Amino acid sequence: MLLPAPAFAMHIAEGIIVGWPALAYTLVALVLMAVGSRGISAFYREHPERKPLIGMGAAIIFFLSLIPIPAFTGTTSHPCGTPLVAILLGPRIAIALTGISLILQAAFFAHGGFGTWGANLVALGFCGSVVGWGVFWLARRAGFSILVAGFAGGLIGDIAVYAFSGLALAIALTNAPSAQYGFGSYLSLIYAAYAPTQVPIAIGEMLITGFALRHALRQRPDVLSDLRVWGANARA
Amino acid sequence: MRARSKLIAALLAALLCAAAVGQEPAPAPSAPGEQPARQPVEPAQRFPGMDQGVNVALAERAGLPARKPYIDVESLGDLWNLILLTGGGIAGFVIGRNWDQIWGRRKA
Repeated sequence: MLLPAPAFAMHIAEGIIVGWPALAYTLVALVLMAVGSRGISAFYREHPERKPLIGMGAAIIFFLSLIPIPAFTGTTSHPCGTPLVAILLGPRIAIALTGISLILQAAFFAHGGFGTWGANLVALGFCGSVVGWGVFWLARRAGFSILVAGFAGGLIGDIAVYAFSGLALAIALTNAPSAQYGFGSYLSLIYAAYAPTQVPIAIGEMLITGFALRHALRQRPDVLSDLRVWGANARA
Repeated sequence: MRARSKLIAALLAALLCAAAVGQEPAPAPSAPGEQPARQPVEPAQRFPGMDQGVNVALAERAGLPARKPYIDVESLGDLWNLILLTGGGIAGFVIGRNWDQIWGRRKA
């Protein structure tokens, strides 16, 4: 009774998305994984001395998306980690690392599922990485500091993950055998239920991402320049 | 190389199969108010995750009860703690081992 119950947040559990939608999400996710694998290969070619960063990126995503953090609402949720890793290593790599993390979590941590792996990868991997990375670069191009750009990327990336998760869930529930509401009602209900718990967690992700990037710039500006995150050769 | 390709192909095929047969259709209740035969995942008592508190709860009401994981580590007693601690420990080791590559001060 004292064991912590496995209570996770964004991951859609096994059996909730089934049939053709699950197959479609999985196919999309496999394409994303192929693109991400090519990104990892390109990273290895460009930065052979920085291969351990790939392992560290995977560990960050795996750990942050597995740790349930209690919110004041009495429920728990977790940050994503994908915005930070996408900003540091690129969104393609973050997507591939998320896919690997999700498989491990589904297999050994009762977290997500194999049938919902595709939907979870599109949410956590694609939305978190692409939106977080995109917002960071927009903020950077707008002239904001790395702290503010990191804050924006972390916050919006995290919210994007849960926005897509809610959307995927609402679509699945609308087509469920005993659907009680229409799509709009389900979506409103899910977002209203997510918000009180997830907004504080998103603020936490915002702080983690911003401060981690600012600390990296202070400690190792050469690395951020080499990874084209900040400085003269930054991707913009 | 060929062995690795076969391994990847087998993994992809397994994922597609899991997506296709993630859950057999829930049996229709034979009488109003009767519960389907499948047992839904029990919600946690305190501090449930949003997954349990929102996703699973709404899905159950809509006739899509979440199924137990294929590998039900929750039923393994203290081994579940071991798995969690091992996973967290390995992740922490990897992050700590490479921390200075990004967040450590450059050595002279």
